Amino acid sequence: MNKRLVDRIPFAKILLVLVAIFILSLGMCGATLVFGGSRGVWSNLLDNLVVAEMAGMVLSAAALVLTAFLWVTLALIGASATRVSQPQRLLNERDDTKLDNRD
Amino acid sequence: MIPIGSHPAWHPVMETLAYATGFAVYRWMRARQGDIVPEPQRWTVLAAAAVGALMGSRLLGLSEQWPTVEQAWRTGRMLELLISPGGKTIVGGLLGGWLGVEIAKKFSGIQRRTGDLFALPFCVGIAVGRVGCLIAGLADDTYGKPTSLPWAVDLGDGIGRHPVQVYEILFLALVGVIVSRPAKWPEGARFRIFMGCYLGWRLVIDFLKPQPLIHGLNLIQWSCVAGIVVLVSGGFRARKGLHEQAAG
Repeated sequence: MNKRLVDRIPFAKILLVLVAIFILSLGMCGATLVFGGSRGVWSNLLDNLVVAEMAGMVLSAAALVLTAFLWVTLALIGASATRVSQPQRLLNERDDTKLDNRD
Repeated sequence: MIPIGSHPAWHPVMETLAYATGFAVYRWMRARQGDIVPEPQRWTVLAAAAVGALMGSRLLGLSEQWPTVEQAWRTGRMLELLISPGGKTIVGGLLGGWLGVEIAKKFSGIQRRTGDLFALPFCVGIAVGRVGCLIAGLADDTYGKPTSLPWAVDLGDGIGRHPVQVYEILFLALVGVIVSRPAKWPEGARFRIFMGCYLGWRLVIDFLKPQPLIHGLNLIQWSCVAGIVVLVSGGFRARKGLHEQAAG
């Protein structure tokens, strides 16, 4: 329930999906230029395809930067919050009420 | 002289193929030999490596072409330059990815060495990517210096050049054989061997590339030197830790 926000959002998976979209758009953009060289009747379609691929690159790159920034920021906030919220030990005593045998 | 020509549009195609092949080899390795870290932590490592690699390769690539960056800044075409497919370096990608993983490991509390699974995929991925660099020819800044050797390549300007990309593919094949040997090596050794070999290789082979030099080395070579220093000092620290563990 009280899981940190940085642990609740799958940042790693989101980032990898964005990286995959960026790389695929890059490759498809190159492939369109390589294989669509002769053009002719497909000229308009190819132009639109290149624009879509470029848009894919730009948008995924922007989302990538934003997600990475958010991930790092939330991780930093989470780390400092964990440090602050750690209970202070006033007495150096063992809690014998715990049944957990981890030491 | 072997005629190749310059076909820059092939570079992004081969680059994507390189990432895809590297990832396929990584998945195959992971399925074959298992993983030392649980899946959620592996996702974190992969994401950190990918983001660090993208940033590192771009940063070093742009630093290498400083006059172009300056001109783009002055003419307000910085965004165009940033999203253009060129201007990336493998050394920057490797060092950036490595740094990204180390930072992510610190945040996530991952203690294990996670790079071994990447050693062979890097060899395969870089080798595939280098085919693209060779085909891209003069448009890519990775071509070699002029030579009169019988295996010189003509990249479209009528000058015979060292096929430095082919040299690198052969070298990576050798490193790939070494790091995929089924020997019992300490954790992280395969990755460190790969990094040491590759950075050392680039330090040497870049003398065959016509790049601007700063105190005798180009920017990529200086980055290789920095990477090797970190690698060696990390190796010493690890050995010292092992000795202390054995003594205690």
